[in-house]
Amino acid sequence: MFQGRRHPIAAMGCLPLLAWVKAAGWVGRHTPAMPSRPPPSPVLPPVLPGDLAVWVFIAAELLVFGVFFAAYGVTRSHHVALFNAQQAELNTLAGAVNTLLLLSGSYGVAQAVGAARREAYGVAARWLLAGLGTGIGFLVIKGGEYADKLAAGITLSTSPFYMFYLSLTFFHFLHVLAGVIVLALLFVQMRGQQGRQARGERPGATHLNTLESGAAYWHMVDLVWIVLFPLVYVLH
Amino acid sequence: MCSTKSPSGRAPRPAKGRLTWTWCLLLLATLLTWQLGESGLAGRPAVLVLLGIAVAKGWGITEQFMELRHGPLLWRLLIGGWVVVMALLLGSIFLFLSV
Repeated sequence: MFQGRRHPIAAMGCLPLLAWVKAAGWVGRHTPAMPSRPPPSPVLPPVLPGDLAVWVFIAAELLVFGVFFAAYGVTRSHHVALFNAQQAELNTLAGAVNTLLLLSGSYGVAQAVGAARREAYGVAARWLLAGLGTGIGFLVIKGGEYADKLAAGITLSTSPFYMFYLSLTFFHFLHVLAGVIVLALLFVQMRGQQGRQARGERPGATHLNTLESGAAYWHMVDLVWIVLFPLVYVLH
Repeated sequence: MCSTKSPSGRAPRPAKGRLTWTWCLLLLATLLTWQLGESGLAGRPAVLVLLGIAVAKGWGITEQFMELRHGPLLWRLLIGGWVVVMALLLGSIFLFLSV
């Protein structure tokens, strides 16, 4: 009844051909789906999680960090011995632990997104809390590193290496701080969802989009550190 | 992996095992980076190995955690390609200008 009315060609005995074309996914999303049948193909159209504006923001942030990293590399090429000597003064263990914390935080937030999609809001809130904990841990360790350097009399004007070390890592530090605030807000939102669910109310319509957007930002902070850590702490 | 839909039908659920495996490999890669730094690896081998590890870790974050493997090609290339571009750029600077 469906095909014959919608596609005159099907009435001429081409129904199997049409079914095959649909199954191959050539028709596209605009083809009206038949509610009584399963989806024609398991392949889903591409989906960008969260808000498009967040992805544009992420791309802009990555560009800024990219310019910083290139400037570090070029400046280092003029002071290789100085950069190598002062890099050796950094606490590589603290940098490595911070990397582990950020990666674990990203894992927690990715799990929170999965849990929220399953409408397991309590589980999502707990994963967000774990992510929040790793972010705070990062800030505490990084703050300790800064305190050590400042106590040793190191400032932005000490050397080109420390100018880059302090400015680059502090710029990233501020991003982590913003991410921690975002995760705290998402945690509060997720607890709200959990409460509404417990009362039998409908969850808010935009909560998943907000969570996915915040998660994408948090992963970006992680992604930047993945390059920053080997570049500033290890490579020589 | 693509056959499971979320309740909203907007995006596939991230598979739990996939995320956990990605996390474990990312932690191992980080420990490797740290150990290579501690071992005193320097010069060209250090540049190639460490930036190679960074690219692999970047792939784990963008494709798995950020779920760009389900995303439009433009964004996969733009965000996922950032680490690759960084590795090529920094690798070139380190190999041809510095070391």
